[in-house]
Amino acid sequence: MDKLSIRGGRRLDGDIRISGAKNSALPILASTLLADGVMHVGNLPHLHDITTMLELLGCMGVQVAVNEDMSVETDCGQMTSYVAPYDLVRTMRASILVLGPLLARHGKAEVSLPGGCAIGSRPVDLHIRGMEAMGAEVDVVDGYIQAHVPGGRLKGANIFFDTVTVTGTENVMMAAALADGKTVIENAAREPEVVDLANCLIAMGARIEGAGTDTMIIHGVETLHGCHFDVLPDRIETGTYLVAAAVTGGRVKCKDTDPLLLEAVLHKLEEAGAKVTTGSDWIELDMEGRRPQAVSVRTAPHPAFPTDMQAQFVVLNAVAEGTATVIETVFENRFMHAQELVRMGADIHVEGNTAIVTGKPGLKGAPVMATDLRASASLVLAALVAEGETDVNRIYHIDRGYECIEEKFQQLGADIRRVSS
Amino acid sequence: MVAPTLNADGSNKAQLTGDLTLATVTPLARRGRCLISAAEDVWQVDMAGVDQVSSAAVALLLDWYRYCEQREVRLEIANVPDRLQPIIAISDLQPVFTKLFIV
Repeated sequence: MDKLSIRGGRRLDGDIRISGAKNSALPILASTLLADGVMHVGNLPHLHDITTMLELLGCMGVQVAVNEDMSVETDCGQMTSYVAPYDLVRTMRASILVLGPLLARHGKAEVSLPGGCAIGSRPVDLHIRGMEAMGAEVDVVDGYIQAHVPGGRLKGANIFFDTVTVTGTENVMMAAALADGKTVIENAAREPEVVDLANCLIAMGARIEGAGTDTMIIHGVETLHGCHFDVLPDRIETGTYLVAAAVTGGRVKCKDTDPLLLEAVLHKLEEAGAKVTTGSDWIELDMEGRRPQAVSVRTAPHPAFPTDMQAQFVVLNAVAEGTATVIETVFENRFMHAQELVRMGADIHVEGNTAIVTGKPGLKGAPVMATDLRASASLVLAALVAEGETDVNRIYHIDRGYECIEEKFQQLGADIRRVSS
Repeated sequence: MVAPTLNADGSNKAQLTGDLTLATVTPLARRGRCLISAAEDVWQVDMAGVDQVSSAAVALLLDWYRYCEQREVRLEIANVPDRLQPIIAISDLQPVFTKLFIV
């Protein structure tokens, strides 16, 4: 199992290119199931979940090709199966995203239930209820969601999500795009990745209004066609590298990104004392050698502060001047990185969904263990500041969300290497 | 789009040219198998004339590799386009192909 070995204390300085967003790429790849014709999807990150999604499409008979520019071409003209098997779904929860497209296009689907998750419950009930509201009959048999549409075509419906769900909104939006009539999604997720999927569907010929607001209206169409679409930049990867600059007192310019995607994060970084400058497709953060000021954050669905940046800001506060609170309102059980950071000398008290963090001038290197994707990223950030060497174990979590993480940090001057054991 | 060709150059060699994409490789796979059937011991395919590539090209070479193994013919691939290398890399197929490439 690989680990990252990091010797901290270097001030980061340099430019990096931000990858495409996995959380946008996965639903967009699932949406290619809706296309009548060839789809070209670009700016995909080279991550294992992307490969798994392509494998999932391939096992259903979709023709998939990777082009010279690393864009992906899919053709669903000769599908042979409508089953998302357990072996693939268990490694990638986002597999549930094929449910809506399969039901909308083919009137049937069989999708394995995903397994448990380390960062709290993320039930698929909302997806199932959405499909049922549009006329699908759904049973859960032997761990599989077995669904079919009497009459073959889903019907538009009014759907209210009692909890904001990103993948639930995406699944219903894809299903509704080919449904008969109008679908209204209330309390829809407003995340940029949801908007990106809507933009992709619109480019395929869908009629969608209200993406990026909490009420979406989708007028179903008979068919969707293929198109070229580039997925949006990864705002969380962007934010992670900016926080890395902030905690090391350094300067990082993130290229091929979009400052509008992470306004809440940039605002907090400025509050922490960082000098942030932006262009249409870049963001530069310069800490000018200063130690950050503590900043309190409270996570909430977009456009508020994203839960996927919570762990990184716990690290920022752990080395900042002052005391701050970090409140997690989106997922339960998402402070598992705190105990590992305490082992590195951080002063963090967790009470319920709140972490109270008192900054210290420095942290100390230690062997630590990653527990989930963003927690892993926070441990890498802590290691970059810590005195001495830190081994971050179980980095398969981090490899799921960050493309070429050690190469990018090396580009910025960090002393980081991957060690295979 | 440049239509691909696969032309025999003697019984043990062939020249591959044109674009290797999803839309073009299927007939090439069959033609290659015919040429491999006629080859003895070794079959060399020269990719110097190849233009556009995608992972369909990798699939094509894999198909020929498997067929060569069945027929106990050694596959050699000459002048592999540089732009095919990253696709082979992200497909985790370097261990398979590296031994087949000749300079």
